[in-house]
Amino acid sequence: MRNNIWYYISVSFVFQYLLCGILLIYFYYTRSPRKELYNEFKVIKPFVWLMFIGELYEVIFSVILFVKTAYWTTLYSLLEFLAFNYMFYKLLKKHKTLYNTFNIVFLTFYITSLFFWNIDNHNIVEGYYGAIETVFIIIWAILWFKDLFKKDEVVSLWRMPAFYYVLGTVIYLCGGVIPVLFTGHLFKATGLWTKYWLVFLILGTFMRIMMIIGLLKATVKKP
Amino acid sequence: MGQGEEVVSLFYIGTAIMLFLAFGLMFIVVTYQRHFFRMKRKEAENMLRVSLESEKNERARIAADLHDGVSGDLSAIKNYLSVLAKKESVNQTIFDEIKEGVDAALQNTRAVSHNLMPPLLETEGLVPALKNHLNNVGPKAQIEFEVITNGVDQLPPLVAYQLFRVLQELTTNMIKYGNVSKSEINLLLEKDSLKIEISDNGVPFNFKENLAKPNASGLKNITSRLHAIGGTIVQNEEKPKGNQFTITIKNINHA
Repeated sequence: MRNNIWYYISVSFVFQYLLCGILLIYFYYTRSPRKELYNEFKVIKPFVWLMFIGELYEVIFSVILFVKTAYWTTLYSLLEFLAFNYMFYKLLKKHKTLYNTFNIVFLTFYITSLFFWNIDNHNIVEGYYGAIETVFIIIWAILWFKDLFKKDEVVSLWRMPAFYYVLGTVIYLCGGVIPVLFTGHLFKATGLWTKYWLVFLILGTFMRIMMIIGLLKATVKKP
Repeated sequence: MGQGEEVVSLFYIGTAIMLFLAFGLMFIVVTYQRHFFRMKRKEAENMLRVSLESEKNERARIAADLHDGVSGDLSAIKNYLSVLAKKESVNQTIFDEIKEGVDAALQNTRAVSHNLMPPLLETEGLVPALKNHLNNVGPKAQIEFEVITNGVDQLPPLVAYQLFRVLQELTTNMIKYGNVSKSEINLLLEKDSLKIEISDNGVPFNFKENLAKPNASGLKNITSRLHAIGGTIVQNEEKPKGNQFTITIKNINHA
């Protein structure tokens, strides 16, 4: 599999993700939050750390040391959901019950699935995590849009950091849900999955770029 | 079609549909927000127009009440005093003082009434009303005002009223803060576009910077009035001494 061109393309995306992770951490700690956008700056903190630590792990352990990715990708699915769920809850500053419900439902499914988890079927299980996460995040996105139009003040969406977070997350999860659900089946049917995984990687890059833009919009250069 | 090809087709079609739905949702939100923004802006512009129109009508009403009511009553009191003063038994000095007081009250009432709604503005238009106002305030403030007009005859009443108020505010600022001795107001009408250049030799001040301050109600009033008639105000920042502003109103007959 490692002689396949698609493998090297996938690896290039891992380094790209590492660069995005470094940029996110760099911008987060070297720029000051805008006073009126302090909340938008705060909510992205768990995500920033996840991106940085996650990509560092992938480069060191998956790409360089060739450690099996199954354990990490399964754990990553949980961490990613928790980071997104927290981000939306803090952005909206309400719907605590919904936040807790989503956490409980996802965790219940996650823990239950671990009893059926094995290294051969981990892709399929992660597909289900992705599907549940997509549904929950779309609900959050709709609530955010609803909240947006209730406000008296009209601010252009392109000036709101939160818009970039929502745009990146929705496109990444909606576009990525089919690849994550189909990975196992594609591998069984074609013996190849890295080629099709490229779709998910491109969407991942898009999401990270949107997060970086959102973070830049929420901050200014430190004097 | 083999099972592999079927799965691949389903993969691509499914991904395309999900991406289409996601982008579609975002597109709808962005478009709706722009539409919403436009509606709110239109609503705000209408409210501003209505508010300025109400203010003008209210001023006219109060000016008329003062002129017809209070002025009339004061004139009547003055006449009674004249009649009483002719009686020999009355203290002439006290009556003279009372008459002076009533005269002063009458003059002040007329001044307030004219200030609220200059009669010349309604009967003869912007330029005569402006010249009359500046002839009144100029000598007291020791400022030489010059009004030059090029092709400016009659302007639409609403435009004339708002421009009068804007120029009144600008000249009041010159008197209060400007340390001005000479000022020129140049009105030029070209086709359908009116340009007014106001320049003075006073203390330079930055319009934009002062507009951003919280207590800049006078300057905000200027921009609101100009916005209501489709006008803009620009400061010539390259002027080395004094201040120069240019007010431009395009499509003046449709303002």
